[in-house]
Amino acid sequence: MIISLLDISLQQCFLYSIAVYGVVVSFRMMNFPDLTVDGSFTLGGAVLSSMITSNYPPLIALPVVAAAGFAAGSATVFLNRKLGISKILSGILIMMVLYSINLRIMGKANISLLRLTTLFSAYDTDDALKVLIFCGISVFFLICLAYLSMTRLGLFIRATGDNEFMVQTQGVNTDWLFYIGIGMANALVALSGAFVVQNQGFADVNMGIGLIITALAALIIGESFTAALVSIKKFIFSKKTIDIFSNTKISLLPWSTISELFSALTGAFLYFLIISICLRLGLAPTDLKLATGILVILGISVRLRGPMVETYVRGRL
Amino acid sequence: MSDSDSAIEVKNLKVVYNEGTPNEVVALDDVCLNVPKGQIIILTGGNGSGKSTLVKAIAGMAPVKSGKVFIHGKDVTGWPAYRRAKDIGFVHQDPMLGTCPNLTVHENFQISLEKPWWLPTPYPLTLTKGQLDSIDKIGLPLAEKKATQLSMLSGGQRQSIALCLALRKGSILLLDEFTSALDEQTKKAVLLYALSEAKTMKATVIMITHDLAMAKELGKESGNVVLTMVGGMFHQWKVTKREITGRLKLTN
Ligand SMILES: Nc1ncnc2c1ncn2[C@@H]1O[C@H](COP(=O)(O)OP(=O)(O)OP(=O)(O)O)[C@@H](O)[C@H]1O
Ligand SMILES: [Mg+2]
Repeated sequence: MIISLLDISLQQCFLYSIAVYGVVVSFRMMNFPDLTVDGSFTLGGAVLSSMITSNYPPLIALPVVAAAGFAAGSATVFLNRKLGISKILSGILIMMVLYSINLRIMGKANISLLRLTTLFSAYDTDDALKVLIFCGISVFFLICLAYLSMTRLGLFIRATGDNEFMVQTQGVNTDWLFYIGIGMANALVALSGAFVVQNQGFADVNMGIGLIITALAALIIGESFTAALVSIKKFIFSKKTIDIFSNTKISLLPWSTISELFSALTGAFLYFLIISICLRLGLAPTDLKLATGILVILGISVRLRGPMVETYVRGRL
Repeated sequence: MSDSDSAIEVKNLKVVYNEGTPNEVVALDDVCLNVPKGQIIILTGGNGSGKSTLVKAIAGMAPVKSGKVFIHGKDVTGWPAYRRAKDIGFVHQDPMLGTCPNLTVHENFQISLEKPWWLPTPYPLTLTKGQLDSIDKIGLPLAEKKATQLSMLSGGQRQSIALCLALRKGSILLLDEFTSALDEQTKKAVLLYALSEAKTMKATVIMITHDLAMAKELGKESGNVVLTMVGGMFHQWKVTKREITGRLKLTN
């Protein structure tokens, strides 16, 4: 039973982790509470499934999915930056608009990909190989994003999320950075949706509902896990051994972002593991969103109960 | 048009905060100012007299209702702040605003490098000689703290870093109480550094301070001008050899 649990959660977690990376980009790097993702996740699934049913090869469909997700994110940024609608409301508006758009793209509420060629259909019989491939895809995106955070572009994306005013006084039009950052976040989420659809064999117009909460729950679990790892590391190694890295060039790498990405991956795994265990233990599938919601509320409030929580830390979620 | 010999020219500037709401404040009304290139202006005045508002309007961060702002003879009134930043280095009164609190010291310095922001190549893990020099000159013990988040430094340390980041930009420096959070010794070092840097860059400087002793000291130097802003009255500014003219009227 443990093995099969692991199997299911591993398969799903790697594909969903790509969406969690997207949430890391928008919520953590850019400090932009972007709720578009519920819509762009389905958008990814919708674009992919309708292209595959029209006999496009899946590898051609993926760039189109990414572009569609990028466009959805850009639309939210446009509402926020150019039309002056708040970040939350912009996201909700685009999410809602996307519901109709997704239905238009799909033509009906549910598309089955059974017996059609998807990226994974060749490996349908070999679960272990499938998990390996999913893991590879997820790690590929993780490495890409870790690399991005070390580049000048990535630095400016993080800086814009941290203090937009400062970036502007350096002569940079921060609008562009929001378009790039939030667009990229939604492209990742759409790709995640496209992968999930290919794995589960169907696209549903409601598949994205509550995705943001799932992704946040995963991220928060992952962050707690990473924090625990750090304290274990401090406990095992004396202060001196940790200090060999301080003042070296290695210490200047963007470790906070890299650890966020790592948290996203581990958090996605732990979340799906916890959920599948709960389901086995008798949690009704209809209560899943309730459980996830409680998890997020507890996660955020417990984490911010420290003695000295500065205002901008509170603002980050 | 405006004469091209002036670095900053402000014409009949009116700035209104929260216009059309019950909280409406007319912060500046009919302000004129003409600053020649290379001039250093020390601006003093009571709290709320509109000093910060004036420099913010020059930098493009205040709601200008009417009037015009010229930088090097160009009308920049409609320009957003980031377009003016090529010419202007700005240290804000609030030390929180000049740096990125959740990025490290190293990353903050990388942002201020004059390279395109969109480069998809890794940023260097060493600082340039000029940056190391500036850290040295302001006397901060940052060599060990390059990987420290700015939010974990003291307010004064952040203010000094904000100055370093702003100094590398442009021919105009707007320094809004940039030494207010510093201890006496650091204040001297930072002030000297800022002024020497301004001289070598031949920069035009507007420096706001509440330290009257410092203002007097700096005012003694030839060419420098001390201006005082007073709310609520029409004010004639001191005129020196280099013909600086200013006119200021404030309501409230
Ligand atoms: N963001 C704002 N919103 C509304 N009113 C403002 C704002 N900023 C400044 N004011 C008002 O504008 C007037 C001038 O403020 P300003 O900050 O320019 O004063 P200051 O001379 O810099 O004062 P201080 O010496 O305290 O820094 C004040 O009456 C103030 O209440
Ligand atoms: Mg002020």
